[in-house]
Amino acid sequence: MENGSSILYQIKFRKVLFYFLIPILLYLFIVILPLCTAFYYSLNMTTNFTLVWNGLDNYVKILSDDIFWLSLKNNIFIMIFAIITQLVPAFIIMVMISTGYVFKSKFVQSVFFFPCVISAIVVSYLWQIMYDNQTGVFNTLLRLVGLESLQQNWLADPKIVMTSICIPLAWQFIGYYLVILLSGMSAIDKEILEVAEIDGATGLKKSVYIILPLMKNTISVVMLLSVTGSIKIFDQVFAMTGGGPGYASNVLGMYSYIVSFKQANYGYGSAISISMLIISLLLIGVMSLIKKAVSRND
Amino acid sequence: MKNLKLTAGLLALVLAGTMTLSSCGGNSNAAGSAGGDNENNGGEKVKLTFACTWVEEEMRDQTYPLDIVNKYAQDNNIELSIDPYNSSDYQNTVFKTMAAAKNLPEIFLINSMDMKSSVKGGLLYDLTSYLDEDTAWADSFLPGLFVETTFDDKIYGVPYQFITNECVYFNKNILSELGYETVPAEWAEFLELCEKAKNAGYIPIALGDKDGWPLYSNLAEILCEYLCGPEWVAAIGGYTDQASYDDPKFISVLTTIKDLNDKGYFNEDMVSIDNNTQDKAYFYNEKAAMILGGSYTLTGLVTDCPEELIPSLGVAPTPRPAGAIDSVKAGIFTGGSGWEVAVNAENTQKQADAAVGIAKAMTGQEYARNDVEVGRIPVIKMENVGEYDASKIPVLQDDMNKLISQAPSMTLMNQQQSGAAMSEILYKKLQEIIIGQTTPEQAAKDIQAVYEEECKTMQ
Repeated sequence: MENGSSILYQIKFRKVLFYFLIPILLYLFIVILPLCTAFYYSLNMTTNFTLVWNGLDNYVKILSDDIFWLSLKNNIFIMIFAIITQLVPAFIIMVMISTGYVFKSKFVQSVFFFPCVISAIVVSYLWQIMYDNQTGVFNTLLRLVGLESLQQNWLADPKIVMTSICIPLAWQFIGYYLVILLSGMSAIDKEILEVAEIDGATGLKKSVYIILPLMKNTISVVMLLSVTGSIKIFDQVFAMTGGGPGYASNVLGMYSYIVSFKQANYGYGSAISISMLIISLLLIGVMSLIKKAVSRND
Repeated sequence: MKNLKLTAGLLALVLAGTMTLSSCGGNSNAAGSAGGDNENNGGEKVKLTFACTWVEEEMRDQTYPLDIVNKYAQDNNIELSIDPYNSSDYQNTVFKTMAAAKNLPEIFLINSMDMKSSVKGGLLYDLTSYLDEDTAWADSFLPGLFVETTFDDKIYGVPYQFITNECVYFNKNILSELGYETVPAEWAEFLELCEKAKNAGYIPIALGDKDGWPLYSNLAEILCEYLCGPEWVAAIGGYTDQASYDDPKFISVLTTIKDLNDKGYFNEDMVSIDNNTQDKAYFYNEKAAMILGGSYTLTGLVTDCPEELIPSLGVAPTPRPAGAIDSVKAGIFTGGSGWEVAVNAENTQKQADAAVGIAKAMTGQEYARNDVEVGRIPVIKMENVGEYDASKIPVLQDDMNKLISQAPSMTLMNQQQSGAAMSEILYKKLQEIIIGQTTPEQAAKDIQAVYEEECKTMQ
């Protein structure tokens, strides 16, 4: 009887597997094939729109490419900024919503989520207008209140251009992480929170000692999304600064675009893209190790 | 169970269909590059796809390029399919992607910066015989225009427009207020004008350099002519080792621009605003005394200018900088085509003939007449243009034409001889100098390093 049901299971499984073949092929075609093509290109030099094999030379070139490392530095800046300005506020708002202290209204929750449904390009161009030196909202307000000395060249000053780019990122994606955290929060048994409140853990103590540990997995997911999103960022930089002034706001995605298209060097541009993938995988690996270490301590 | 199988089967079919459709998607018009694939084997109509930057919505009422080529195609049994792209997208991504994929259409516009790479990549049809056979057509062009499209004595492109890159548009009222009738021809006096404008609360020179090319094209290039000399310009564009970017003369070009910036003569946000509308805003609001541009700036400047400001618009050549080479006199321009019509190397004879016919239509009398009437400089000599409606010519065009005709010399825009990689590094390093992240000496070194790499493949 057991053997019979096992055989039946295998037959059914094979049938189901057949139907999964199509999505698997789709995945191979859309994700894996372009990746392999990019890796092949990265082993070539592009000369006069023609690929010429040069092995790992492009990757060796990356090691001494100052612009690559500057771009990576900017990506890391975005990553840290995103964690501080997206995840932390998202967590705080999530706690406020789920504990019912404030933002109980569904409308208010929708307002937080609304920015992330707007196209990144549209958001970027809107903020570019707001940052305008003459007519932008920020400098105009500063002039109106008599604080002309605090006016900035928001997108022209290399010292603050990265912060200027990160602010709309924070504005746009707080809601996205908030939704994920809320769904994670909904999986926590309400009785645990009630018991914690009875025991006197309220407010900050409940958030830090009860909610945060219970949401470890969800938080690691949002951190992963934030980190990988920061490495592959492109739209906002393209729209607001184009990587400028100079290379001050250049990021890896933008650099890959400039090299591949503006310089028509697909080989080296692909090498930069593959390097982005490697860096993302390394960061994910590091985060996994940290998560395991934290779990072990628990 | 049966229903589940049916549902799963249908879903699988839908997915398979989606995958098939997505792989076959894309513009079928842009796929015709292989030999006779697009030719009607019946032998009558020739099918051509033309990739261009003529987006009808952006052309306003200046759709004559499209009208003329469509009419030519209709009259000459050509089935022409126009593939329009935004100019910036086309130059930065579309053309290069098509070229890399060896998937260019039968006829297309090409930027001069991509000419050399395309010729060396074997992508362009040799058009020399067409010009040799039709001498009347060849002789109708302004002298020297084919320099940008000629390699090893073979011609690979037909210029269809003529632009000059450097001039200074100014507000006559503001200059008059400061005691000037026009922009001074020599640098010392020009700097005095800038200082007076700054002290009077104006921005001396407005420019939007977010894209990088305006500062180089509208200023650095002409300074190269003055300070480095035409021989240096020609040598550097030929990727020879007879000129280098770490030459003190080129460093003086970068230093001159840095000096203007350090003195506060540019708008503070120059590197973050574009040169389409944002820099013009300073000019239209009469906050800026001058704005840099080329001959191509004129039409848009006049069209978008507030009506009350139009009478006070003026144009002058870029001033001659201190330290300029003696033989290079004040008032010169650099000019050239910038964009050409090219034909796919894989075309059949019939397709090439038809494509050249379209190129002739774009460089003919009717096209030139329209150019003149909208304020553009035609590629053919004025005596070949014939009659045109002078009342349609925009304000300032006569002034511009006079300046060009009185120019002591007109040399080829040197950036057109550079490849895309060189142009990119030149633009970026200039921006870095403006924001204080590098010095002219270091920038010159960095540019030279890229140039030496490019020389290995571009010679």
